[in-house]
Amino acid sequence: MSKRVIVVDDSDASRDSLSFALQQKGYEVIQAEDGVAALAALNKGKNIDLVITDLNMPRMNGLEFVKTLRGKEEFRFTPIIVLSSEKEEIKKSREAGASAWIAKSSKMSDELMAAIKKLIPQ
Amino acid sequence: MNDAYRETFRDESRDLLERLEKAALDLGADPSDGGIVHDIFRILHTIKGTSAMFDFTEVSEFAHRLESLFSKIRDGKLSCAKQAAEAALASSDFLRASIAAALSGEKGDAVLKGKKESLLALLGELDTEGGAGSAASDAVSGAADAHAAGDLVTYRIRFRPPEDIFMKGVNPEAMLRELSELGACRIIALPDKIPELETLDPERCYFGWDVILSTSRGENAVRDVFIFVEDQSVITIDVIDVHDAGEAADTVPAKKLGEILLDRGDISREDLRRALQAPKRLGEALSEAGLVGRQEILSALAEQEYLKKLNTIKMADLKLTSIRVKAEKVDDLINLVGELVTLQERLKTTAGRIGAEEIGLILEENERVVEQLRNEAMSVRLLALDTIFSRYHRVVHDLAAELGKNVEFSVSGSETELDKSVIERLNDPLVHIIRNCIDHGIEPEAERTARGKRAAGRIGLRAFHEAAEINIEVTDDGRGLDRDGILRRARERGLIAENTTPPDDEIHSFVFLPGFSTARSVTEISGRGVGMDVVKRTIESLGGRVTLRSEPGRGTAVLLKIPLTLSIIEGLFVRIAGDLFVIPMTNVEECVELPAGAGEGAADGFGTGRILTVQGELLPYIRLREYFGITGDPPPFEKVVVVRSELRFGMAVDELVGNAQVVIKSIGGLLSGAEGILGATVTGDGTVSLILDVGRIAATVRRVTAARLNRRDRAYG
Repeated sequence: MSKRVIVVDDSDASRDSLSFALQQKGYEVIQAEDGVAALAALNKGKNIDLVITDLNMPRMNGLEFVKTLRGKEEFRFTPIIVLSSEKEEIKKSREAGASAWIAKSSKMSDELMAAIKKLIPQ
Repeated sequence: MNDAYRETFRDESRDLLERLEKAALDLGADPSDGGIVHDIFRILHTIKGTSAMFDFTEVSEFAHRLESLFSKIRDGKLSCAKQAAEAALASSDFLRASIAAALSGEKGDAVLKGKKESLLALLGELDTEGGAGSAASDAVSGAADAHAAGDLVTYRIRFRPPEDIFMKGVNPEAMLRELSELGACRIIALPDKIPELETLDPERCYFGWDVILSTSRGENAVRDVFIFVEDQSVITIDVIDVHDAGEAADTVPAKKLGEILLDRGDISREDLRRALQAPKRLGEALSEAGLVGRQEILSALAEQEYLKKLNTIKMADLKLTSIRVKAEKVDDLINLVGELVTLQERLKTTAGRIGAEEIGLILEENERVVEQLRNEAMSVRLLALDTIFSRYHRVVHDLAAELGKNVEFSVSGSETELDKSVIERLNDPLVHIIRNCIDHGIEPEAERTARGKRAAGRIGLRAFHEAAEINIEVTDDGRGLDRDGILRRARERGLIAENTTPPDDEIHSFVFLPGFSTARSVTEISGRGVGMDVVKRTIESLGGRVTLRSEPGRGTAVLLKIPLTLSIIEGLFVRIAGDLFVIPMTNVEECVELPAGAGEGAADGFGTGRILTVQGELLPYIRLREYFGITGDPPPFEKVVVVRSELRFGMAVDELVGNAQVVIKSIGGLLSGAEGILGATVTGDGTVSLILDVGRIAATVRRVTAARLNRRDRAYG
């Protein structure tokens, strides 16, 4: 059965294309436009195999979102991929508990799949 | 990036630029408002990210430049908010034109270029630190001085992840697996950092690994595996052998243990010299002197062994080598190994009885070697599952076309090996399960789209090893089992009471009952009421099990677990009146005590038709004593082994003895076909025990229980 992923990004274009790439690979995708919406979706008790989140978002940004997730019992070990290419951002998000990062680019979906492979035993 | 999202991007960037303009105007009015600075920063960041996704580098780089200006203002490094607001306003016009040009595929004209130059100049002036706008991506750079891809290079990799790696959501197993996909490899765990049990935190990772890997993919491919953990982990990668792709296979000179340890820096030259003087084997001398840990020695020995094998790998790289052997020779070998397994068990039993502890330790090692030998011998008869898996692409294609379904089929693990005779018998069950997926699981395209699923249904066939079993899983992302339909049908057939609802997995298990079909219409393909029960019976006759998971709307997964071999099984020994019997472990669920006095009362026929309560559930049971017509009195407290085959039932025995691996021997002559007997085995003390055929006994239990229920019904009717 398919693995479930939540994609959190306030950009529709980015969120849609990531979701499309993931669905192509057989993942079930839940979308949320920022940290607050994502937490609301996650509080519905669905188990999530992977979190992909942008960092710059209104209401609750990616860093806070990652920190909040890591503070919750059920997401302590969940792989989290952040979308960023800047050293400083990557450093901060890793301190917050992110597992991996990928840069937004036209090759993003390939990079995403490569990252997933390093996080979840296939 | 996908063209379908250009439209979204166009709308989104229009919206973002409008917001940028408004924010720039607001900031111009109140340059001290940090909130607006942050808003502008965020808007530019989004524009940068999404345009990079579409490869609009011009736009992305410019947005980055502007963004870094605002990030400095935000962080208080620059104080030119008012001028920056002006620049942002001017830039938004440029960005709008630039995005329009990019979307239409144009390079942008001279006017646009001129505009860009002047804006960049302006930004440069504002940004006094100048040149801060480095390239848009600061991604981690690849390792230097990497080995070129193409040559078969053998690396020694030591990987010690940070202890809190699990808390970062990273599973080191995934990385080890990715490494092993790069080429032939040997992974040795380093457990030396595991603390005492009292201080051990099970959520931390104390392990490290030494990996010897031969790959032609280049060092960067190896480093890339660790990209997300490299700064927090200890990772060393050394080249220990290079094999030129063009050259003929050269052999690797054998290395001595001391050389390897020296190479690795685990010992010093001085240590080695001193240890070599001791009249002992080097490994012992080193570890006794406390110069190096036991684990380092084992790891170095593994490397030594691997390098010896590497020559074989290189040969395999050049050509496939194989030899033809007569099948009967292989059978003889496997028979002998079977004898050896039996002898090992006998030795263990005897050693246990006479309490010979010292021998016990040797026996433990011996057991490991025997097991390896057994696995190697078995592997000779193995065939890759690909021999049947490769057929199913066609099966799926044809069936999908026939039923008008849109189906994508993927296969993985087809290199997994299984006994040839088993593989052939798996074909029919697998075809049946795949048919079910297409026919019942995958919805018609229109229904899928209406539910927001991908138009094409997905069926996956996957095989993998787990302990001494091969798992084969067929999954679909269809509608899942018709839980309510099954429940209704089960009620119709009187399998469950009208007002009770058992847990889901129990409901799902009804589909394995003979003649149980909920198909609304009988199609050409499936739904004729024969099906999953046959699958289950076939798999069980191979000593395996079938389980099923299903979630409404998300799909179904059928998992077949098949033992690697038919001739050796794990068995539970039980005693009845001084004789030992073996119950195959695959059937055993639990063991309970038979309440005193429960064994009394009238017996029907073979002693079936008895009922027992186990954890509040009624369970039919038989007494094997009666089933086999064994005379004499049972002990005051009998045990009941709860087994599952086509139904769940209990078998009362005198005593439980223990479990062990047993070699199945067929019983020839007069005794062949004796009901309820699968075969025989020679036990630890040399006597012969019968192995029970739980499936056959289950059939009897079902028949007699049904007969008794009928009789009772008639008596009331």
